Amino acid sequence: MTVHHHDHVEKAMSDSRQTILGRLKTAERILHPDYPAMPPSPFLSMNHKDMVEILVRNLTEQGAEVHRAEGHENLRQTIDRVIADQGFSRIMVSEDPFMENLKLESHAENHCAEFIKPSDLEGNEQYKGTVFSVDAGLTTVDAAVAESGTLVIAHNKTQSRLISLAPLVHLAVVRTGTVVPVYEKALDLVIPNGGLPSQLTFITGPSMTADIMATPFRGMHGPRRLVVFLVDT
Amino acid sequence: MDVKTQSYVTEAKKEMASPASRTFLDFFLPVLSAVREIGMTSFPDPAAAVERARAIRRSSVDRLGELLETFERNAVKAGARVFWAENAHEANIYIRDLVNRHRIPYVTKGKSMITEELGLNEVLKKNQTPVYETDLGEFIIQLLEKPPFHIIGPAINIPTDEISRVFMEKAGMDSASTDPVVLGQAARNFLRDKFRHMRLGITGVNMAVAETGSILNVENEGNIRFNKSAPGIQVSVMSLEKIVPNLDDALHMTRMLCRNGTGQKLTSYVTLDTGPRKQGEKDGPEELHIIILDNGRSRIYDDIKTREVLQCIRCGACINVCPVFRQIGGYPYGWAYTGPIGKLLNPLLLGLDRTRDLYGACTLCKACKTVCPAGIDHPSMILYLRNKNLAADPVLQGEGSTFAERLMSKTAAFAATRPRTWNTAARLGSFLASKLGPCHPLVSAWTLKRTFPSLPPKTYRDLRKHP
Repeated sequence: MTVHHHDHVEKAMSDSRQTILGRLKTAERILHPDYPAMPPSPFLSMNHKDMVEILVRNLTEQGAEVHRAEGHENLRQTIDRVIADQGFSRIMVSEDPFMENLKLESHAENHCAEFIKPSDLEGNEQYKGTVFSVDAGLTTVDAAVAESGTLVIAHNKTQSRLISLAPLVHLAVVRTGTVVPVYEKALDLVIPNGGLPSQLTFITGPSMTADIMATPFRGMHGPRRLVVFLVDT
Repeated sequence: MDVKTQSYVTEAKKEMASPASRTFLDFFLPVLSAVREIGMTSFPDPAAAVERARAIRRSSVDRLGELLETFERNAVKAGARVFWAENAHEANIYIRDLVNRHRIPYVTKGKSMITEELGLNEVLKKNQTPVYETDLGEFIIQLLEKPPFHIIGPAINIPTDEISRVFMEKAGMDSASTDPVVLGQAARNFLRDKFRHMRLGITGVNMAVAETGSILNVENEGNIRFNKSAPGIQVSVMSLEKIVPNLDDALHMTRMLCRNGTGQKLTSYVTLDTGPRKQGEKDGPEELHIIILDNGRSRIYDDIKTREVLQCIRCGACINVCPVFRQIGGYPYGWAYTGPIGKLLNPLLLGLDRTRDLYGACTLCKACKTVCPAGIDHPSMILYLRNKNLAADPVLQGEGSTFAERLMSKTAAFAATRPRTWNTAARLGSFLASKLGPCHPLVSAWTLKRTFPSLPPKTYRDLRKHP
């Protein structure tokens, strides 16, 4: 635990770095030809409506439930209905501009669910205690990829990581305008100037495993259910 | 982890007679291979996609040194701390010191074969730091104190009653069950509390993106996401070949990895981390440590033939199709890596002298090479290793040939260059073979396991002379 000891580690490391890189860089060099061409993905030439259909098909095949809605008002009603049906009482929500704009808490006339924002909670302990105990996590997603039915979330201070992971149910809002054909297009949309967030998460279906006798089941560590609200805005 | 590569033959015999392993190997492995094949058809042009993937891996390995430097520069710029470890010891000590410096009560781990290679659990155990494996399969084998059976499904062969017993004993499960879902639930409940209070999480790395300094992980359960989201300190260990040049390449390789590993278009979760949590963020690690591990790989790199093994992305496709693995399963390989890739990596990292049976037991059927999305020619490298072993290669710790082998090749060379001797020996050989049979102790080491054709009384030459 001494400074001296720390110095020792630093020294060992710079030696190792040089040894390793030295070996790699003095080794005989082979240069292979450029990457072979790949035919462009057929997803790229698909019209938007078909793309959304494929997204829905992929989501459903992977075990997500998809609810469609038109406009903010209808989306609020749809979310409220699902929450009331399931009897969820505490839900943690992301704080991104779209979700803030939706103002779910002020419109929740028909049920008594409580919407909790991470910024309402003081400190790490309270935040963790809450996110591990709520009935569901509700987030906007930044892009949805048709090729595999994948939801992309760029985590930042308005999109906390654990909301879509720790609760047993993940409620995800997908705006049709953010549906893209392939992952590359999702990156163009989410990080237009290339500045990556601290974490970018690709979610494809609920948490699952097949580690015991290759028997698949859902909800291993993450959400058992993924409920997608697909909204035309 | 302990190296048990020298008990290959005994372990293989045991596994071939084990009913539990037989069920899994005979039934699930063909299914896994079929699932992979179906998965590959979801590429618009599967053959072109494979060729692209192989080219990406070749190019990444070609430029390994410069890509690692670029990666380090960009990762550090994003706020990560990069540590270079020349061997397992350096990596383990770094992690142990980190644990001690921050007074970490316990650590959790995502599934990673690299930490199996490090033997990290043993080091932390000696440090009296409890380690919880959080991948369901790894969690099971950790409790059972067994080695991984398969790199994708480490406990996939373990019967449910055995899991039930150990869960009741060590993971707080109340009543016995042979239902995989109930067992999974029990593991979820046990580990959830660990995730809730964890302060240091350890993961492997599936890909490191040079252009952005990001690391990418692929998983289905969500345990790696917890390890990267819940604690204050994240340690991600990558073997140095995990590098790809840029994000486009990483995305293509991820498509390839998922389809080859489990037949999925994409696993449930793929996460790409660039630096630690930023100012104002509620979760994610405050410190992100990335350990770049060599552990013998830069030496493998020095030889352009063995270098190819560094193209591997650990998808496991070669394992499921291997006719040898389908008979014996993963235990006989005796170390972190199993199947065809284990036949290459274990000998290259441990030395040829104590892994002889690994590269010896191969039929050279080329099934592995055919499916490999990373462009590795396993059979050709296996022949190369056999050759290096006979030649007593000092770098790879070859044993050299035995006296019997040397005598045999010397004798053959002597006879083959002298027509009379050759003809006499051929007649004698044919006579002896018909009298002694394949079981005679003089030749049985070589002939017992092979189908030996019965030799005709006359040689070809005799027939030509006296038809």
